[in-house]
Amino acid sequence: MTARDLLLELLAENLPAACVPQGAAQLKKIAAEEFGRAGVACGAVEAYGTCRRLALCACAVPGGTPTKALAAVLPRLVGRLEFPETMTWEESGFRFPRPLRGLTALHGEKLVRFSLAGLESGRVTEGHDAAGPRRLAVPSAEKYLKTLEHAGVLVKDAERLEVLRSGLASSARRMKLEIEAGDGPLAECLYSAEYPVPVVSGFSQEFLQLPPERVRRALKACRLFPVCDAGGRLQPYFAGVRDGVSKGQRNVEEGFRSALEAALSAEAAKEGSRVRAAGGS
Amino acid sequence: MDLQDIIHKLNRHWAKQGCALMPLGAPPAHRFAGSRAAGPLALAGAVRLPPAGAPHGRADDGLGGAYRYQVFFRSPPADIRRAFLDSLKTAGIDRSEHDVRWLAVSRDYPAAGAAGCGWDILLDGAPLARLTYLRLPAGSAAGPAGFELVLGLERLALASQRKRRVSELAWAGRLTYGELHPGETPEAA
Repeated sequence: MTARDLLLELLAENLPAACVPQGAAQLKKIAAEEFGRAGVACGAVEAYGTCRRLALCACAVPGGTPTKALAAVLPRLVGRLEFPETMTWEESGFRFPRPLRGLTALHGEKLVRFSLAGLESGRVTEGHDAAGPRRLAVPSAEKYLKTLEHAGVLVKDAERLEVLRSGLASSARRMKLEIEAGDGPLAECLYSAEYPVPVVSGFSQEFLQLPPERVRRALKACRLFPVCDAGGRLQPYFAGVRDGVSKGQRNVEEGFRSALEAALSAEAAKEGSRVRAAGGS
Repeated sequence: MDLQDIIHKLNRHWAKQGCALMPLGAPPAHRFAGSRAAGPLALAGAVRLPPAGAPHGRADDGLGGAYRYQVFFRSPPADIRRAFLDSLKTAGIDRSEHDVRWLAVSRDYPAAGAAGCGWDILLDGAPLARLTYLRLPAGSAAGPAGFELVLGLERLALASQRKRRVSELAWAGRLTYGELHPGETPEAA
């Protein structure tokens, strides 16, 4: 019997950004241990995460593997995940950072049936929040990633990061400026959007009179990236990330700009107080 | 969609989800979290906050403006997230034309003896709503003590009506927010 891939997807209400890479890394490690313990053979095991889902993909699980064995291993695996802060939301008292709302478990096309946290595993998940179908059937474990991509979700962290980086790079090239996208802020964007799309706009030039660290603080508070020229000087532009299609881009640009200018005004007020307190002009 | 219509639509939407409509007032709905009233309890309604500086007055929650739409469920339905997103649609927001960001947060309500975790929802960078799964302090029953949603009505209406200034918002027909609140500086930002 041919070996088929095994898929487990945990669909949740939006997860705190920090929990996602933690969860995916644990899934991968624990899967290797639990498969070994249960005598489930498999090839490569990978785990991915977005703000709404954690996914485990194990390649080449032999066709003859009893579904019952898989149905026993998968919930045990999920039960071993640990997070610094968790909550309960249903009777069984299962703990997770935010409520789990869906379980998809497939071996090839076969459904691996198990229950956990008041849910029954199935073969239906959700597409992208703003753009994709609310109910998305996954035909097989092998087709999972492509099915989600067509529904506007880039499940693989590395792919999403690449789309994000190249999107920001194109924007930078178009402006002939540089976007300062540090690893920390990039990671936050990576785990807040299932399909990151860059947003670029400007802010009122007069704010550049503020000390650069105040401008950067305001940008950071609004989860936006600073834009500089080749000499590292701040320019009156910002770059940000939105989740999903680029329809209504103007709404997002204007919204981000308003939020930023409010934060910059607050920094200006603080600077004004500081200067006055120091006896400055 | 007039602000009046937005409130009607939200009322109809949450009533369909099983909420009894009543203005919840300040302090926010989480004061019901510890209530010993038996049975499922679900409430929804629009409210005007006390002025800034008063307890639970404006600007306390960062949602701008003076009006809130509040929803409380003692036992939130499994599709509460979907119900919230659909409520935005019913208020005239097409989510594909905006950025909706979910910032995970933890909250404390010492006065109510409750705490919770949930999200600050940003619409195009500005706080639009706060969603919270409430829990009573350790030693109480397991599971959430309820779910609370607080929505900034001015922010919602600005997006729905595609307006920049709160004073320009249509309240009912040609009657504007500015005309109904003369002399106030209701900028939601």
